[in-house]
Amino acid sequence: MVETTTITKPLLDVIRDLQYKGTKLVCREGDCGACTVLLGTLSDGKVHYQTVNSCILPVGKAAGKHVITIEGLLPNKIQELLVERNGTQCGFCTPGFVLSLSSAIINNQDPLMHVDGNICRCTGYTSILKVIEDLKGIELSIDEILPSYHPPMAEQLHQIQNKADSGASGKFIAGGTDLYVQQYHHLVSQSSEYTILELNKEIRTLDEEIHLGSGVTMNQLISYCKDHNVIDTTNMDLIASTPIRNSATIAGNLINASPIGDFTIILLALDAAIKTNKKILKLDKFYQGYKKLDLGNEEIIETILIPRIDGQFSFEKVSKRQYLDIASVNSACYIKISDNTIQSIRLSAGGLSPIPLFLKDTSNYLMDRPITSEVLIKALDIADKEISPISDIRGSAGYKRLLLKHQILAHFERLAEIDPMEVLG
Amino acid sequence: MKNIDSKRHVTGKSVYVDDIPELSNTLHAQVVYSSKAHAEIISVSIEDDPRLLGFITAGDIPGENQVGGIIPDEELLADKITDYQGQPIAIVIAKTKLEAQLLRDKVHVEYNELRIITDPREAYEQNQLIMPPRTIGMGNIDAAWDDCSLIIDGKVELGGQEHLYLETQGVYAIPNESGMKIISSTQGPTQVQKAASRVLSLPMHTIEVDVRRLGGAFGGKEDQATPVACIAALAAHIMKHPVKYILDRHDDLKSTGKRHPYSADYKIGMKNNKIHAYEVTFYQNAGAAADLSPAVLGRTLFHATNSYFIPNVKITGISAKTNLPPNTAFRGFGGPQGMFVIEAALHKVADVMGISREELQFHNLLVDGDEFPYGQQVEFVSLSSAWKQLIENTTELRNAITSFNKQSKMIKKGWAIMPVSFGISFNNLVMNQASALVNIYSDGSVGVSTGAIEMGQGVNTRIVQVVMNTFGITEDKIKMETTNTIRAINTSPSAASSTHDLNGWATENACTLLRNRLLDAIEEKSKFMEIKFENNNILSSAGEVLMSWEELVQLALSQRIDLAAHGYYATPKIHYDNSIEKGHPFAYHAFGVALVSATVDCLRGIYKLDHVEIVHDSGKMLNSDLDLGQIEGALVQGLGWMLLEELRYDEKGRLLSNSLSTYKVPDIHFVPTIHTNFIGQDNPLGLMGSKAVGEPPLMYGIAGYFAIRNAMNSFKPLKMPYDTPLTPEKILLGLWNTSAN
Repeated sequence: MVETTTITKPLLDVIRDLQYKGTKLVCREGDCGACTVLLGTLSDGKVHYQTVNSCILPVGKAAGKHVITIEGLLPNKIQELLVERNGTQCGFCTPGFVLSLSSAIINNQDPLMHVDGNICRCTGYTSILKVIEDLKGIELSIDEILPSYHPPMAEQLHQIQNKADSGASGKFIAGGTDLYVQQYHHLVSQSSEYTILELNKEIRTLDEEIHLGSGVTMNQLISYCKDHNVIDTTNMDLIASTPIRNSATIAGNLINASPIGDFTIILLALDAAIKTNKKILKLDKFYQGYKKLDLGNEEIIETILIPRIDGQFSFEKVSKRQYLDIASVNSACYIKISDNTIQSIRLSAGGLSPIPLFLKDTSNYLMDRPITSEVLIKALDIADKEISPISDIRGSAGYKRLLLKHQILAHFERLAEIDPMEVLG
Repeated sequence: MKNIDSKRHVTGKSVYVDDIPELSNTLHAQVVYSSKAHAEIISVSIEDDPRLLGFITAGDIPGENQVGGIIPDEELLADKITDYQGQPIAIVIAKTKLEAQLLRDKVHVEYNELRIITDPREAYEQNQLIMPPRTIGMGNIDAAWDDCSLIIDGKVELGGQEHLYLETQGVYAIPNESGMKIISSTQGPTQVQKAASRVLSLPMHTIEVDVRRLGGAFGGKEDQATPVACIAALAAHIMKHPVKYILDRHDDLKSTGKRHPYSADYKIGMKNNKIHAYEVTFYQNAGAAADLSPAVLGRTLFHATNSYFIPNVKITGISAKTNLPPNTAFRGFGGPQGMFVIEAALHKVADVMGISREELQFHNLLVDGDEFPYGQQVEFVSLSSAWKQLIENTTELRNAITSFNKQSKMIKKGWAIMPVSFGISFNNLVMNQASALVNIYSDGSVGVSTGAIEMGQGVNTRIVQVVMNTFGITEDKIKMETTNTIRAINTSPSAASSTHDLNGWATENACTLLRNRLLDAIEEKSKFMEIKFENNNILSSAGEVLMSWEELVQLALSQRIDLAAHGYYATPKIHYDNSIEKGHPFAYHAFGVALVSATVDCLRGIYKLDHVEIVHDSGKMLNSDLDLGQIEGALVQGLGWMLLEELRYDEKGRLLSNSLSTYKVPDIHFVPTIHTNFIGQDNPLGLMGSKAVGEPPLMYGIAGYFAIRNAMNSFKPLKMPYDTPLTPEKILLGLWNTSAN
């Protein structure tokens, strides 16, 4: 069908150029879901379908994969219910919702969580929530949503997989979920500077470490943490959205060097390290200034190393909108407590300095101390001296300072059952 | 009845401007926007590039460089002065949209910067006004203060709101042998036609504007689609090629106007629990040109007393000219700002009196015969009965909140009620007219053209219902045509919640003409008392089938009866005298009340909206599916405006909330459960007895602000200004650290 295209062109643009107009361009930053499509990947002889935001996915990432747009679905029950419940008004967001809900059915997951990246400006969502309730109450199989392919799609993908060409050498794009938001015009017009590689998506559990391949996505890691009971994943559904977490890599989040990157903050608390083709470096040494990394030109992250976890973990995030928003302040706490005394602790926080911050002084102070109001008050004081927030679109400096204090108390409320009121007076 | 578009929507088959297959010689336009909020333009130039096919600046315009609707104060392309960041300066034309976007980097504009004003009070001090201040009132405000037992004054700051229609502004202009066809994503095809005619110096009949549907609009495509359409029309005219111009989101956000931010000062006087006097001055941040600001301000003045009778009132509106994009229509059209201020005033009064705001609201609700400051007496008021039903429905909920707050320290709950009275009609008398063209084809199928724009609100569905009802035929026989300036001329924009009333009545009038003509074809009709049109059949009064609908159409055709009819409607009864600011500007009022409840996490400063209970007067409801969708959608937009959506400009007039990652609108997790109860009776001036529903429920969202404030107040007494939106930042600082605010 497509004879030639540049590997960096967003999948959405390719789809629409092919005259499939049901997939819509709205925001070009993965923040609305109107461009949602299903991407089918062959693994273990089966095709696994996940939603992606096609506006920020380079078409090169779809090489060897099966793309399903609204035009490719069978007429189905989800569509009937959206009509029946008046879940569509202007219709512009609707194909995206249909694809997201289809993905929930195909993967047998909670439909509500699958539309966390879909914005509707007309309905107020109440009618769509009714559809979601209906879907929870009925049996719907994949055969009622996707047509049967001849030959079977797994076979077709197997045939073409080896033909997928990664393109020339150059800077390579991991998930691209933030790159495309920041540099769309550069990426599409200077395609020859880039290459797209199939990255290692493996998560390995060793005795003393967990190894994440550089292609491991956010959703992979969250699922792994849940399935293996690694850390408490409370609040991790507040990170990005389902389709973004399907594409965005953990390594990309670290390389991006955003002072507010959610997984960067989580991994800082867990004392993770990066292994490149040149060195192994603890994450808290990796960031040297705003968007400045200890990383050479030819150097790439190969693996992320997480030390064995035997303590408790907590993640906090406050943003203007609770879901799919960048935090005003996020923070994480990894702690071991014995007899109400802190054996070890690592606190990290984002949005408070030019780099994602390991709260070293605060963590050091708390080490070996009992968890009392006096100790916590002192710790909050130290934390306040460690940070240097600025006022911006995410909030005033004063707000961010206050928010960090309260988040630290929230961690201790969750992990050590303190009463924050006793500390705050 | 379901929205007639819904089956196409869910399968992705609905066509919007950007989905229309392009003619092979189509070119793409993109616009170079001013990067300065106020500056002289010294020079505009572009580097040579083989991809550049055309470059257009103000000097290339064949007609007038003017697109102002109410006041001619808005250039299509800034010529000597730029008045806001995002103002179009030049048009770049290339083979593809991407090339046109990239070529903008080759354009150089030299500026000489001038003083920038972004604050409406500062603009007022500098006498930068869109029009002279306007005051309405009644009673004797100066004497009234002496009779008051309590007088409170205060200040309110209201944020603006981005429409965030999912479909960005866009247009496809195709030159033809006689002029131009413009396919536009506009709420106002006639406005586009008029402005393009002015810019191209061509008579209106050479310009055809066609609209299938919009991917959302909410007022943002009432006036603001006009310059966008004119840019493509101008480019197509000059290039002699079809030209498509679709804005990317970031361009749309930075270059288009939004709901007006307001600042207001009020003074309110109580005589026990009755509001005796109310004086308020609104400073409207109009932006750099009039756009619809004067009309928006008018509705702010008219709705400044919301649902309350106040005997002594003075309401002043100031439309201040600032260096921001021209602010514009947005669902509610100034009404929400007017209403919020009186609600804030009552909240403060209640606080001082030590009673609940709801007690004051209830004691001051309008009753039949009460007069609004603009002179109209209110009729068929359903507020008190709606209020009582709401209180009854929420007894358990409110009690549960009270007991929850007694046992919970850090998590607090709150609730608040918002009554709404919203006048239905365009404030501008002349706009209250519409026409429709109904064609019956020889096979009995029917095509309907009106001036109504389908933008998701379901107006076409309601019009189909009118045709079904008048002809007794089923939905499958009726097709809504595109809205086209050849078939529906001199139209009013689809706005003011009035679209289905105006165009529906016009359709009903056309259908009635046709029905009477069809009856003439039936020779033996005198034998029957009455002939009924039902289920695609023509029935005698006894219910005997005389013939099918198709047979009747054939019969009429054989008798040479005209099967096309033009229907016209002008709203009766309305009038207004601007010189004395009195009259009867509205056909009727829409009423309702809503209670919002919310939970605040006082440690983190975050909240969750729990439940909204609504009692809404929809008259004799025409379509419960659509009404419910309008209520829920408007409510959530109102909640977004009050709590979440924060427009930010810096002192240089640059939009900081310039993307969807920095401007957040409600998502599915934001919304509370919503339960709507309908009340209402036959409304003589509404379509088939119904009531308009598009805008009024937006103002229910105001209760969300007060519900959260009340929850915060039960954590500790607040000294927090009445500023919106009430974001997590304001909540946390309001609860813990007022000095950092």
